[in-house]
Amino acid sequence: MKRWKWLAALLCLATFYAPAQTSGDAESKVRALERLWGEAAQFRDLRALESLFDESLIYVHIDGRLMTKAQVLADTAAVSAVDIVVESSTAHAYGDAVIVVGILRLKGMEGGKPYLRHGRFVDTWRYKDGRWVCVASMTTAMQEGSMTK
Amino acid sequence: MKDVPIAPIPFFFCRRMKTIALGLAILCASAATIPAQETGSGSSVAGKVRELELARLDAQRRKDNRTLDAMLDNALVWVEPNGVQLTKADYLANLRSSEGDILEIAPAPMTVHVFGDIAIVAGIYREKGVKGGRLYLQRVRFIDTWTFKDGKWVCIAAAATSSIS
Repeated sequence: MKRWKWLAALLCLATFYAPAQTSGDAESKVRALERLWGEAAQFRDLRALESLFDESLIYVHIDGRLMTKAQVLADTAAVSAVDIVVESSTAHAYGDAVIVVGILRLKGMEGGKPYLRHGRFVDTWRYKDGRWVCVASMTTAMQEGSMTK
Repeated sequence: MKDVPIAPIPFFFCRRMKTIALGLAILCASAATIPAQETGSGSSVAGKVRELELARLDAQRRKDNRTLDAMLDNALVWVEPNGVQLTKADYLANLRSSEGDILEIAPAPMTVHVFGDIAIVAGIYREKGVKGGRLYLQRVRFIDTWTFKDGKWVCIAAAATSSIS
């Protein structure tokens, strides 16, 4: 009986402190959320975007603007339609955090003129209150010759 | 020395001691699994990460690969201000072999957000150097991600851009 009590106590502790999921699970979940992010941004689904971002999100736009979550949402609502394609991405889990790096292509209209930009993004996701949220995101405009590297 | 007779411990005390022992064992086990940074205040962790970030920028200026090697995780994701992605090995090799010299890296005040085992540092620095015999000056916006791993903070991602709006 005594042994059972100890075992139960240790089991409770182990469960409480166990990581939320395995690295592979975390990486695939976050990559799915990245795809969702692209679609939500493209269709300007602000509700979906809101659920993906942490309240203290730090975001650097491809043009270098530093933005808060509220500013990102307002900007998404204000700009004209953008075609966003994630061309490649890899994810790496560190406990309750996942780093995603990839290349995206942005196609749209600005000032009546079409544009096509490529950016390298690095996103940091964190497992919080039972779900993954993005806490930091930076997209760097890619210059000619930096695509293959 | 005289032998002092030991009085038998009453039964209810025995049970209470066992309960206390069990409680203490759980408490100790909990303390051992609490991430190290949570034992201090959030601001002290932020301060420590800020110091590490400044040390990293200084090591970058001095091309001190040994210091950088210890600060950067082996799976580091590094994005240069022009969008080129490098591994840790590539970054250190590039720094070692680069012909130019970085004369100064002057960081502006940076913000540090701590989320448990993860810290995000965002800021701008001004870099002054000499490349190909010519002086250059660039402003860089960066976001670095640090994690507490194996008892120390290491940088796991560093992204930068020279576009600053």
